[in-house]
Amino acid sequence: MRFTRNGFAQTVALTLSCLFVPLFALPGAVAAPFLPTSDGQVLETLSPSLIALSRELHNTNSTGTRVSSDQPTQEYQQRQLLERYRIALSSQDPRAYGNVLRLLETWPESFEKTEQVHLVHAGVLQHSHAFDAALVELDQVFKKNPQNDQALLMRAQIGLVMGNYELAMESCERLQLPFHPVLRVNCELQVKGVTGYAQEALQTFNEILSDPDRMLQDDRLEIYLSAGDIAHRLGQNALAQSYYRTAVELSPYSPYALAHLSQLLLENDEPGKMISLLEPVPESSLSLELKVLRALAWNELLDGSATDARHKPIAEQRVSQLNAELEDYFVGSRLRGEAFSYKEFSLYALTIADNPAEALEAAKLNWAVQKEPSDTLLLARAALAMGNKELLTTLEMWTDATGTEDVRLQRLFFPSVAVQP
Amino acid sequence: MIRTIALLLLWFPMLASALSLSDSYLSLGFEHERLQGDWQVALSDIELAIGVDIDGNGEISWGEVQRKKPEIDRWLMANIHVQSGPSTCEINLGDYMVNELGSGVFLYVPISGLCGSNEEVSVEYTLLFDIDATHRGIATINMAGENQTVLFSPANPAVTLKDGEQSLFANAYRFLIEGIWHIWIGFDHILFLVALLIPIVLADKAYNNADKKVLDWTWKTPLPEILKVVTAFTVAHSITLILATLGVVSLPSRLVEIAIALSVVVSGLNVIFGFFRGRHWQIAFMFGLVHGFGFAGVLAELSLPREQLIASLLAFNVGVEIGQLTIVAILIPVLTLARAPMIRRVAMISAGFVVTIAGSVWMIERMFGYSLLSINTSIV
Repeated sequence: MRFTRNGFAQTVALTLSCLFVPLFALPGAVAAPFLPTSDGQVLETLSPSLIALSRELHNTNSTGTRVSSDQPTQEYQQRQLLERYRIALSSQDPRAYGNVLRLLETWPESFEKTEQVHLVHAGVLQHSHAFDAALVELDQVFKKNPQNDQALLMRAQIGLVMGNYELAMESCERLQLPFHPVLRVNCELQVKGVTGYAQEALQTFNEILSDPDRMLQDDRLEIYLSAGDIAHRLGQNALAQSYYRTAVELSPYSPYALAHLSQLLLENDEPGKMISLLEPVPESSLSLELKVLRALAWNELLDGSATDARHKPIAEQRVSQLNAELEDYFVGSRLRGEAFSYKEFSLYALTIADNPAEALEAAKLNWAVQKEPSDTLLLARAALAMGNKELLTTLEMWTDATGTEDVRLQRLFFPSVAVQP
Repeated sequence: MIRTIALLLLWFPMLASALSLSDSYLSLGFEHERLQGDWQVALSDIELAIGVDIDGNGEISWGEVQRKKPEIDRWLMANIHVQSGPSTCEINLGDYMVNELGSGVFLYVPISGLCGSNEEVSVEYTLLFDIDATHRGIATINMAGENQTVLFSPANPAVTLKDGEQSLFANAYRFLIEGIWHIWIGFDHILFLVALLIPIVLADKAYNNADKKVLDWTWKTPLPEILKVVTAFTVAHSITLILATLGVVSLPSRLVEIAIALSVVVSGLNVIFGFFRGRHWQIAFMFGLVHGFGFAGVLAELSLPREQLIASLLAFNVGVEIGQLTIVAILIPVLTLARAPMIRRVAMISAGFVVTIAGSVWMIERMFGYSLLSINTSIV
């Protein structure tokens, strides 16, 4: 009775959890409202992106002076869209993305949807993991310009995330990028890195990175991250760490660079270093994944012998606070019934909440949409925690068929066999 | 500008994983003619809509919020509309407080008001929809002591709720659909039913029960026997479904699942060897009792609301019957076609074989925890 409707049961369970969640589970009911003590008490420090978006919305300049409003022409509308998208991209702030989506949804019929507008729409959809819809928007771009490099790059990224490597490689091969030739190589090597040619791809990356000055400054972050990821999967952790660290130096608040390095430090049993890594990062720049990893690091620090008696109460307080914040976040997010972060929730349920059953269900839902090596690894870890050997076998067959190489996956598939990097 | 955007697009992988989405939390309670509640709106959202950072230093102070109170009040009032019956509720916003939630700092706004009759309440919510397409209003509305959670979005900015009766109907409808859906996707229930009906419709001969004379076969001939089988199955599974759901009796779910698989095996073998010998409705009743426990297990997973237990239970059961009758209505014409002399025997043996194998596989799976039939093209 169960084997055909796991997905359905999960959907029903999630829907019901939204519909029947009791009042005490509302985030608003957890914390108690308070009256600030003085007029001067600062309630919130706004993030730079929010300040920028607020200025955009109130049509004011940096001194707060209202600037004259342009006529709502096609050009004005597009400029406004691109500026707000720039804010969204640079901050990854959901409110900025929501504002861009609002502009797109109310785009005047009399205005043409240019290549740029379709690109922005595809970017917003990609951001919210609506990959199929994003591909449809990209097709609109290709109708206008079959050789749009931005669209090709986005399609390659979507292909990589969805595990559609043919689409990804076809898009990479069509790239021209005359000013960023190394990004074309990066695109192809990323695909090769998950289709059976990881060693070869890493070797090429190593050659490229032996002389980083030949690359444009802006291209380096991507290259170091891609190279670090492949080295990490091949078990060359020292090399991976060196590449990740350079990526973090290049972009100290990049959630991707920080997440890769954090993950590696945790795998190396170095939660203290991971916590130190995130300390200088403003809270508003921490992705949900990083928040989960940080909480995990504190939990590991508390469990480990490294915490001496003097610091234990502080660690306990921090663990309790971070765990509660995440729980609060996930309860609130689930109430929405949409845009739920299955990957991050799965990681949280597996490593912090000690709920492998929910972790597995969330990892399955995540893997149904995105199949990057980290998604596969998470699903395999959840399957192992639940003793689901059949799923592990399915994943092993999938990785064999695609050529995904990852020593961590191999350790899960064949625990008794020593995997050599 | 476009060049900048072009570059930015190249550098950012752009998958959402970061900060909290914009939500506000609205809590409304209706009792007699009074409305009480609160509304929690993120300061970040108020900044985007109103601009509370008066001095532009990137910080929102309590003094700035207080100075902007009239403007914030007007904005909030313009974006919520509560109607009670034909009359609009008079809403008052109280003195602000502040609340720190996991997703940010929120302004806590007490709400009170006077409404007319509370039998039917409409709430329209439009806060921030003109700024942020992903903003959602998460509301808990309490009517006659019953909480209902409502999600307001640009696509669903309004809701109308009736106390008791309306929510009862909506809830019953939902469980009715669940019942239909459950029998349609519950292959073991379907196969059991199909296996019981096959020998009735494809029987070599049909007899008059009174004088045991052979009847001339028409499509109407098997209907009385089918009616008996379906009724027996229905009565039996209703009994155990109700008793199990009310907690009067309970069985280990694994045992129930194995017994359901066994019922499929036995009925499949009967299609081939015909050992039920006309006792179809009695067998349907016996195994129907077991299937009822299976239905109860599913119903338990659906979090039956305590306040409307009986109505939901009955609605689920009626849904199961509707789903079952639909299957019967489709099946009988198909089986009637299979009565053609050349294929009748082959059809029976093949069908019996398939049902028996499927039931056997389920039994092994459920006894030993394997998953032999999982042809997983998708993991989910």
